[in-house]
Amino acid sequence: MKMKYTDVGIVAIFYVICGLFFAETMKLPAESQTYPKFIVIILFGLTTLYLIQMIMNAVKNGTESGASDFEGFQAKQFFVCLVLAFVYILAVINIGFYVSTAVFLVVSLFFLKVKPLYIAIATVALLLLIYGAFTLFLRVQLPNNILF
Amino acid sequence: MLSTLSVMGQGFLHAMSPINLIMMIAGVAMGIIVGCMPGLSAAMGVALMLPLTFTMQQDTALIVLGAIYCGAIFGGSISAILIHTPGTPASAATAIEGYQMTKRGQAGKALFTACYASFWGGLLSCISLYFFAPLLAELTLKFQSAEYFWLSIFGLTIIAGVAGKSLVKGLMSGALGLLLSTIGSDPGSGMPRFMLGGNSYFYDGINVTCALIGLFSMSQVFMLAEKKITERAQASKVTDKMSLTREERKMIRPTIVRSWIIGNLIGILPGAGAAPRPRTTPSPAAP
Repeated sequence: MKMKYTDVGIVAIFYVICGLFFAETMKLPAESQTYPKFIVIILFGLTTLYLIQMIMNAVKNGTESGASDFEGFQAKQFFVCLVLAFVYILAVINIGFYVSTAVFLVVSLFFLKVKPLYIAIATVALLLLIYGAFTLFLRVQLPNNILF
Repeated sequence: MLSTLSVMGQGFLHAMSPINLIMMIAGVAMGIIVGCMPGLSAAMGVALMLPLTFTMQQDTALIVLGAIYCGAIFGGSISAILIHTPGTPASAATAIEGYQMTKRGQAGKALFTACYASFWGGLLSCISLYFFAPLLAELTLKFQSAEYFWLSIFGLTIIAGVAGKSLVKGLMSGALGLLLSTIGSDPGSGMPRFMLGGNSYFYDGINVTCALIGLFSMSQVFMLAEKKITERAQASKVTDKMSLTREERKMIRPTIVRSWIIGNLIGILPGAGAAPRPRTTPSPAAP
């Protein structure tokens, strides 16, 4: 099996996670440090083991870019959806569930080139369903802040 | 023994009275609705429906609450199978295999299998409760920290089975999961750990339902978002059969029995709940 260059990113992310958690662990009192430190060391060891396996694969079988995994990747579509999802999470907390969900659905479906009639039906139907099920039937509190 | 059987028989006949049967069906229906909504667990469904039972007879109320719980556990598999989002933590494993069947156009069969397995699981576990509860209770009392530790180790060994091509990658994912489980208050000292500046949302750690929605549902959203939309899905005539053939029933029978035994052993442990059971039960349906 050839070494994929994209796996270098995975290794780097895991090392960053190990570093962040280790730094935070050192701020804890000694009695609370043991278990997280143990797990961080295990994760660090496994990541290093994976790195060694990658290097051995590179020496034995050569390398490949790993770009084939991203064939057909729609960068603009993906990153816009990702940003919209993050904005939606922040909006739910700060604005309220119903308004932010309505805006999120309309904007994201419009961006994905769904017909306006379908957008309207999907948004109204979903919000009515959630309102009926959660607010009226189950009386579960949904996030609400400055707006309904 | 005979008197116990007599009391059980009386209880069974009483449970079969028309009012109890109607309330049982209503309870299961409500439970399914609650369970198939991601974010609402079976226990939360019981808590939400509790006020409805205040005016009922005690036995009817208990039947309704039991029905809601069982319905919710099954209901969780509906959203898990259809939209790859487990309705309850107990249906996390169903999302993996059930959604694969949906993608192959076998959603009906997957739903019926979940219903069939839930029926037999519920029935067999009731029989276990009747006959084995006293024995299992004694066994449970012998469970101490060491046994819980080994049970956790046993759970982690499952990583080897689901790791795929790279075992090290699987172990890395497992270790990352363990690391994320340290977020929240330290069970030993009560010290807050990794709570992003004392954020109270993380006091009990990362919520299991939120984690499942993030892992299964959001990942599905982003996987769809990265692909080019070449054509809109068109509703076509469903040819999928819901019922199982005799061979399929025969094939899943050993899994039901095996899952029943494992479920009993794990279910009697205090604090384990329904969530770990599907992941500790090997499935022949795995692709």
